[in-house]
Amino acid sequence: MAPRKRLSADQSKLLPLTPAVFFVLFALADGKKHGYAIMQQVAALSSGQFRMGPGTLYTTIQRLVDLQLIEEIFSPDDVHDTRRRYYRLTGAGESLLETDLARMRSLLDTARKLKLASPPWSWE
Amino acid sequence: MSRSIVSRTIVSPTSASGTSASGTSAASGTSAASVRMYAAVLRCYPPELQHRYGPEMSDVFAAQLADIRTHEGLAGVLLFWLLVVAELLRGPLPLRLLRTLISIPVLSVLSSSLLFFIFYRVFYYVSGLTDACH
Repeated sequence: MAPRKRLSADQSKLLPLTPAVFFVLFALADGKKHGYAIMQQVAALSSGQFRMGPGTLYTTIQRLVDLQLIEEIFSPDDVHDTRRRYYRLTGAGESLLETDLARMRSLLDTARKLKLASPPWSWE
Repeated sequence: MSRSIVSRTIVSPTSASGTSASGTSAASGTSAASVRMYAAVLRCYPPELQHRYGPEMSDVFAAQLADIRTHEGLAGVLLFWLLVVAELLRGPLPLRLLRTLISIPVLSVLSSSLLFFIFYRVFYYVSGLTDACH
């Protein structure tokens, strides 16, 4: 899939993405979430192998907001707290995630050619 | 990209905190102490991050702590604290210490220079007065 939006130099500098940046963007790929939901989604997406505390989460969020890769929104439909901040991917954030996923796909293809990884149809 | 990948129920911080309320009083006392300790930990983070996300970080910490205590027990809580301390050692704390270590000599040089300048002016003034008397 071709990246949708051209990335700025500052945004491209993040590539290849660190695990924290990758998983935060990945967690937001299917819609807006608040901080704790991002954390839970990250734990689920990584099968519990990548865990982060609030320090890493919010340092990453701050960086991504400043780079306009994600944006903060206030959700009026949140019954718990209408002032609670939600985060969602921007077009640039989606592009960055897709670029990194394409990089990983390409690496995986190379590994398969070198017989270092199983093909996608293998059950082993 | 819009496909939902994870079917796990996402627990909101409020409901996760609610789980802690049903625990024993000793456990909730430990949680309250942990939250207070985390408030102290937060002070090691850069002021801008504290200002923007401090209350949210505390909420997320409390919710995560309650969740971990429910599902993983005391061992999980200890591991979580290790994670929090590791985060602190990896980022904000060394930077803060470095800033302090740099600021101490800079401040001492500046204050010594200022004192020297004041003494020099006073000595110059007093010696001028003495010359005028002679």
